[in-house]
Amino acid sequence: MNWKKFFIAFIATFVFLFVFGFVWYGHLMHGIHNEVPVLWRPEADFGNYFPWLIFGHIVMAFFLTLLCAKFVPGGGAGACAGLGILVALVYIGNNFIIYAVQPLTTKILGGWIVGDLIMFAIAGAIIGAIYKPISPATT
Amino acid sequence: MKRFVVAFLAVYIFIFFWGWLLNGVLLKDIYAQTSTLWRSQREMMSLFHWIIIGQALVVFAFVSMRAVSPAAA
Repeated sequence: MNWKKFFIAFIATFVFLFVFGFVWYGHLMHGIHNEVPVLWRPEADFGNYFPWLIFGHIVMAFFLTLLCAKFVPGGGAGACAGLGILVALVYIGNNFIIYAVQPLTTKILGGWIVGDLIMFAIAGAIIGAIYKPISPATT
Repeated sequence: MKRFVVAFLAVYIFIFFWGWLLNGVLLKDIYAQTSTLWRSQREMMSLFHWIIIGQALVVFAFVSMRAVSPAAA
């Protein structure tokens, strides 16, 4: 494992996931989310849980980077974007289940599906572009 | 392809029963404490096909990850 490249890819992915999440889910979908306010914490309470938001993004970025490093050892933006899409499908499957048990609107479900696909495909591409394994000649 | 289908079915059956045991039985009373966050039982049953589709998608993605990994070659 090329830990230096891994760390750089992890940081870049974390920054991307955080910014994309803020823009897509927090800004663009803000009005759509507010159609079912009962499901979300009040704005005033939200700040108290911000560390959990950061931690969640760290966990996503770390394990997505680890998945790409392990499953696509040759790297490459395209191959890792493909893996990112498979990870997005796991999230999307879970979104369908949440839709069945919680009073989400179809607009929220649609927004989450599109957001997850874009987010994980780009995040995978970022990791694939940055992470490269140590070549045997340099070890 | 044959292995893919067998793995898909095995994992799907496991995830379906695990989901039922954990969420439908073990955590049922805890979920009931936050009943405003959930659809009614009747509504959930009318949307049950989304649970089936969602679990199938999760399993498909997992098995595909294994199928495309270099270790599977």
